[in-house]
Amino acid sequence: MGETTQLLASARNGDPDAWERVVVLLYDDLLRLARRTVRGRGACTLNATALVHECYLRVAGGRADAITSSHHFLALASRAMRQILVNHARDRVAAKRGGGAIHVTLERQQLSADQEADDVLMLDEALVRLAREDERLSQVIDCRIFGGLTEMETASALGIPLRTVQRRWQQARERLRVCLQPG
Amino acid sequence: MTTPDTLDRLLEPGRLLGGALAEGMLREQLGVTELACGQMLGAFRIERELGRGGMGIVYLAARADGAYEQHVAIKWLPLSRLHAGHADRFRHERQIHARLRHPNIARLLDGGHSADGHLWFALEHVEGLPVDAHAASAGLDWRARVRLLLPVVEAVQFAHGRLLLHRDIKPDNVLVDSDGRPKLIDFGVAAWLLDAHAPSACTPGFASPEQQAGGATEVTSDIWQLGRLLHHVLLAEKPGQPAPAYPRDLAAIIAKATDPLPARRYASASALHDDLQRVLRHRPVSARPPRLPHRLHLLLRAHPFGTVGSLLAALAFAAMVAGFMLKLTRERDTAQHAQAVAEAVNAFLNRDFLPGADPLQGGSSDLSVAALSEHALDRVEPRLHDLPEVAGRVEMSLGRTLANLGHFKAARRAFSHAIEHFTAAYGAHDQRVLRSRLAREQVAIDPASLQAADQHLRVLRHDVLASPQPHAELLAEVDAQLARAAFLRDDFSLCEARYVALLPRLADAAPVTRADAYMGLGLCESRLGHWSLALAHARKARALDEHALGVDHPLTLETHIAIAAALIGLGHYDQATILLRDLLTRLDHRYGPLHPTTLTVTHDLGLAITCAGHPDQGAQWLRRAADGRAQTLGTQHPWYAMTESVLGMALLQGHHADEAAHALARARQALGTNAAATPYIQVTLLENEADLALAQGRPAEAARRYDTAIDAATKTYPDGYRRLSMLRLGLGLALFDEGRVTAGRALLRQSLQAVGHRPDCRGNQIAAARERLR
Repeated sequence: MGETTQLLASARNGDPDAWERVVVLLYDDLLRLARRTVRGRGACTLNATALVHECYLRVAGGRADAITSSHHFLALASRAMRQILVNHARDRVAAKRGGGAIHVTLERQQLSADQEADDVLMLDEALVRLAREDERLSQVIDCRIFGGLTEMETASALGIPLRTVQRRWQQARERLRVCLQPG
Repeated sequence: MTTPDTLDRLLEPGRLLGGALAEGMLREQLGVTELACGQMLGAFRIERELGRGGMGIVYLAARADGAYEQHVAIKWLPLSRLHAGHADRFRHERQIHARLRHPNIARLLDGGHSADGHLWFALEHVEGLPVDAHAASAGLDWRARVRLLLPVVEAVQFAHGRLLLHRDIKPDNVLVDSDGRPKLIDFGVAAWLLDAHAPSACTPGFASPEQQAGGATEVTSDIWQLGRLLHHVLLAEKPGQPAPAYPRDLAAIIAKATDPLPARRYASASALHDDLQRVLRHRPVSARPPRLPHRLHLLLRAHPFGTVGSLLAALAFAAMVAGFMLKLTRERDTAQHAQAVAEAVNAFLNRDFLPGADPLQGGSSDLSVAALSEHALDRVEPRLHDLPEVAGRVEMSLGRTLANLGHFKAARRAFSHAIEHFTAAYGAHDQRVLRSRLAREQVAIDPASLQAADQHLRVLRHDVLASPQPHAELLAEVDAQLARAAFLRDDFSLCEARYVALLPRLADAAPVTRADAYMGLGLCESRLGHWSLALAHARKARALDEHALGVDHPLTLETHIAIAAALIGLGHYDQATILLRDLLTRLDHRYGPLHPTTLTVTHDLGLAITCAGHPDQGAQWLRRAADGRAQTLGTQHPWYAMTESVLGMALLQGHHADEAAHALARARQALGTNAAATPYIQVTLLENEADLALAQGRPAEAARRYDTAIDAATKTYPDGYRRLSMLRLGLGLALFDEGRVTAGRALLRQSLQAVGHRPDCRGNQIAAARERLR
């Protein structure tokens, strides 16, 4: 698991390739994680945070030095989750365009998924721009929207006070609104 | 195209993850395609769904080949990515599990993986309640509950004996059938799943600490889960009928089985089984021997390799070997071979190794781990001779254990056996053969092998270079050993040269490897009189080890020996004394007083105290070191000679000339015909003998010995070396006393100037020289 921790470290230092590879490595774990978060049924009673924590324990093993803490890992996992969803959205959009033909019997479900794919790609672009302006703002969005973390969990994941989370959340929304202004 | 509404919707927490995109993605990637009734899977026809768990769906199916009616449970699991090679391993593993036949284990009948990425297992179908629910609804008392679980523990032991772990023992996986017989289900399922997936997040409370941490699962992980199972079943209750109370002995058994540290748990399921039977028979249980466990614990921690508490240490060792063999069998390509390995190793551990440690099987709990390992070493060949690769690995493990314990002779024997077995298994040029040859040289400390070491290492070096994949790291290790060999033969200039040549090649090596080289270099420099350099290098070694291993690691502690040696050379005796005293306490605690390293420090402490001007006190430590070395190395060993020689010096300085004479005679006797082979010790001994002769009024004899010593020393030491000057000073005193006053005076003047004013271990002689010149 040394590879993962190393990758996480480079990812944290802004290496975009490292992110892709982290995503590959954590893929199965994160998907299972999301499945539980989304469906929340079956015999499992663990919540998403506990699952990410377990994922963290596995990834970090004895090498907690590479990732500062399990809290920090939550933030990283959120960012990775965003990447997974964006990749999927991209595939979906590409398949739609490449496929050419428009299915007549599109189900409601598929329609809204296609709409969400477009939205997610747009949000991702806006977040990339936002991160260039102020990375701290996009981090809060990652945690809350893609990691499914609560305000409190986001605060401990990023190691900042609750108030700061709330303030940055508001700021991020406003900045995104400007970024996504039509025209 | 974006409205504020879209943004609000997107940024509503939980919305995106709960949305159609995420759902679609998960279905695509992970979704469990459901099986329809009547659908065929291998030889089985699906009849109905039995249930859904966190990992998949369970179906009831019937064998459809018509031969006989048999119902099976099909586990239908998603496996999103099956890596190359996994498919084969899966098949082999399944074959091994399919052979696991025990009345209390539901059999794994078949399995496979479908083209669309599902794994499936067909298991013997057990109709019944989970064991905790059964215990509660039947209103069983604690004895009945323990009795109910005994066959389960036995079944786990049975599987462990075939080197199979369950890894997901929990109440839901123990079903009680209509005859009231408990059956362990899912053997082999969890093992496979946990390999491919994260720890079973679905069983909170039943994943052992090491499983949660993602560590390797061992026999002791199953023990942990058995402990949890026991606890859970004892606590199970139905409304209005509380769970029965159970005795404290039973609580102690659970506590031992579920200890956070694997090494402290029962080493085998049968040990747990025995204790459970004892508690049923009201016998004292091993988990709670009267008033002992706490003390035993402390002792074990204090002497991880010592003789006390060796029973537990030995069991931990056995568990380690078993775990490692388990891994080995997984690596093997055929299930049949794995089976053979499993049986042989199991027989070795259970019949040859453990009985020696288990007082219940006629062994003695006083037996040390070293004695056990030595005994086991002799049993490897008869037991494992058909499996040379396994024998070799077991012998390497035993050799390392013995070397850590300081039993170098036995370790050497273990490594020699390993060389033979590895050669038979892999051919002479294999890395494992080369590594075991190096290991054998590393534990060579008897005079004969020290002499041959250089030759052996050169041949080894040649073979490493000639091997199909010359390994730079292995080559560096061989070269480090060559330098160490020069040190052990008292060829300090060669030692220094070899380390200096080696160090640049270690720039990218592990810190511990570099520390080792710096420490060796420091020791050689000390012997050559380059004390400031020696001190700097020894401190560098300590810094590297401290950073990599921590301040209390044995290797870090050993660097203190090199630091102290340099401090003694520089005349900082008090500083050296403080350092060595502290070191001795810690090593004594960790290794016991008779470990070779502890004895070296005892010797050095005696020397430092003597040099600091307290020869009587120093002599006490030196005597202790001499006795220890006589006991562990024998009275023919040059290191024993060295200690007796320094003891002689201390006694002489304390004005006990007769006793000094005895000590020096013992040293001479020990050195015997080996004197020329160990020039450093020979020079020291000659000098002390000369000092004695001088003190006893035999100046002519003293002069002769000083002459011989100077002769030997000039071959070993560089010009201007302080100890050469001290020898000349001694010769000056002898000449003076002999009546050759002019020659004596000239020599005294000359050597006094060379010696300067730094404190010296032979301060008394420097004072005597000044006296003569007055």
